[in-house]
Amino acid sequence: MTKRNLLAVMVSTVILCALWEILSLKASSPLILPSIPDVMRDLLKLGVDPHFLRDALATFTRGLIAFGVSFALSLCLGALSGVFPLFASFLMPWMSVIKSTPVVAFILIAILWFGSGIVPVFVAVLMTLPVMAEATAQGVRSVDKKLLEMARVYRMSCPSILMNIRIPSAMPFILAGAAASFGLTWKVVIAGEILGFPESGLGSAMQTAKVHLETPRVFSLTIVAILMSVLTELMLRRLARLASRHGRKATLAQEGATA
Amino acid sequence: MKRCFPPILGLLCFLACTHAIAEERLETLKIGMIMGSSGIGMARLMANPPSIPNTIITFEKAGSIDILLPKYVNGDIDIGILPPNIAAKLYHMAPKSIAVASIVGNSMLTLVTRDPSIAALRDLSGKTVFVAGQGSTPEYVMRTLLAKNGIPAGSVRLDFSLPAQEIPAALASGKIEYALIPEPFTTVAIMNAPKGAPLRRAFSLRGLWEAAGLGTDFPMTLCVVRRDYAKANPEKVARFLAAYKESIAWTQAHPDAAGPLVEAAGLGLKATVASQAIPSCAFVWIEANEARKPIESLLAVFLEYAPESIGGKLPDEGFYLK
Repeated sequence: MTKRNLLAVMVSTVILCALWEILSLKASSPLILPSIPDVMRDLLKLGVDPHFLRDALATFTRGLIAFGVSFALSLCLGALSGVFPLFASFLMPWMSVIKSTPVVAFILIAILWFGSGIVPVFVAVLMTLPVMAEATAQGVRSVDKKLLEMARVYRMSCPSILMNIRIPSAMPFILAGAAASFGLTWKVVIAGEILGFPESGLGSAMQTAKVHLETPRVFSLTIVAILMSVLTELMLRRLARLASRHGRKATLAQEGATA
Repeated sequence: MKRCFPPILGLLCFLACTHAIAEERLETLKIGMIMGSSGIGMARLMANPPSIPNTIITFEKAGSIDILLPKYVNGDIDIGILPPNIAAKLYHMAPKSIAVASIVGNSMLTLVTRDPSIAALRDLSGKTVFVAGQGSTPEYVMRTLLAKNGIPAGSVRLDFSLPAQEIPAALASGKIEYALIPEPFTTVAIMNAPKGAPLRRAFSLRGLWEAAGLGTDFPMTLCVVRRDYAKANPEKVARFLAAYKESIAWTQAHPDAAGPLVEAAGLGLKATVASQAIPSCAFVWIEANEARKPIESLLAVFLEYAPESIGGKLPDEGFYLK
């Protein structure tokens, strides 16, 4: 990030905070819009709350499970639809239905099917699947056709093509899709927890805080959720960059070997 | 000079007129309530508002308390209907903003099931009970009663995953077996149960509350008044409260006639449902000076399980309208 860009980020952050402070002064009650110090104080309280750790851990676990399941599923579906256009067409109506259904509708229906603890995971998988599957398919399609042809000419084995050409060239797409859907996962998991109300979870804690009119608590829990989402997405993006560099290296090496 | 005289005269006339209008302008008395059964007692009054000199009465109904909250804080609601815990929280957070005029509704929480083996709290051991009202009166009163009856915390599982509006359908269709719900959901569930498998009210929490020695009943609905408004307009408040009291008495005496009024009031209840629910709604009128004991016995439950939900302490005597 250049110095000027950094400055822009800082200025906009300051404006954001100032706006928040002004609005909270105008609202004149922490019930409606708590001030930044109110929320910071509550964040500190949250740190020593024994329930909080349990809630955060529960949400984190749900998010990881949802992401893992969605990742595995979308790798299979995405790869298949990337390689076979017929399969992509077959999958299309399913994906469009999933993509255009409101999250809340899925949550309300799923509560009746599963227990309240599974609903957030199920819905998160459902919501992220189209995003990641689409990215995977795109990555698979983006493979260099000439490279594939050449591999065929040199009678490279199928697993070898997969490991050395297909996966490395699709990896950047897959990881970018993964990063985007990881952010989405947290949002959906928490929405599912708010409505499904499992024993523990950040969403359950938010819902309780809302019912108790603990508005600062709702804000501080939201900040925790934001941090969780930003940090995991950042980690994945970094991973994506590493992988793409590695992928490029692999392709270069391949080219070198074949040359 | 002559030419600008008429416009100036006109302007003066206009100013004089607006001033006169301003002096005669009607004041509004703003009533706020949450949709659902708590506003039923107000329906007749909404259809025939009491005549208070120079005053228009406006009624605002909202789907949830979140919408009304800013209005309470900013003084945009003069008289409202609230659950006791919310009223206490508001009293503490927006200091001394409101005061309780009366208790208008007592406990109306019932355990609904079609399981014939359920007659008492103890019979629920090992069962999952769906509860409408996480973080509020139903949850904490239920937990208190379980504890008072020596039933270990884990043996009755309380599930809050279903929104209150969906519990009747889930009960009627047999998806869930046990639910602790307030009116009008109890009535809706029983009305919609299939003929071959009727639902019933197994027991009410009111009876258990009394048996546990916590009081004869516990309040669930309060009528609150903005303190500044009450101080400035004692006459108007008294008139309105008298009309409200009468409206509640009439509603209880004429459930069938009240049903259509409730539907027309826009509380989100059908006439038939309202008429059937009214006898179970436990409408009362307990003046502020007699309300403190029952309100405090309920708030004590909140103080034990979630003190922050009522602002950390019991409200002082300023909470009760004099």
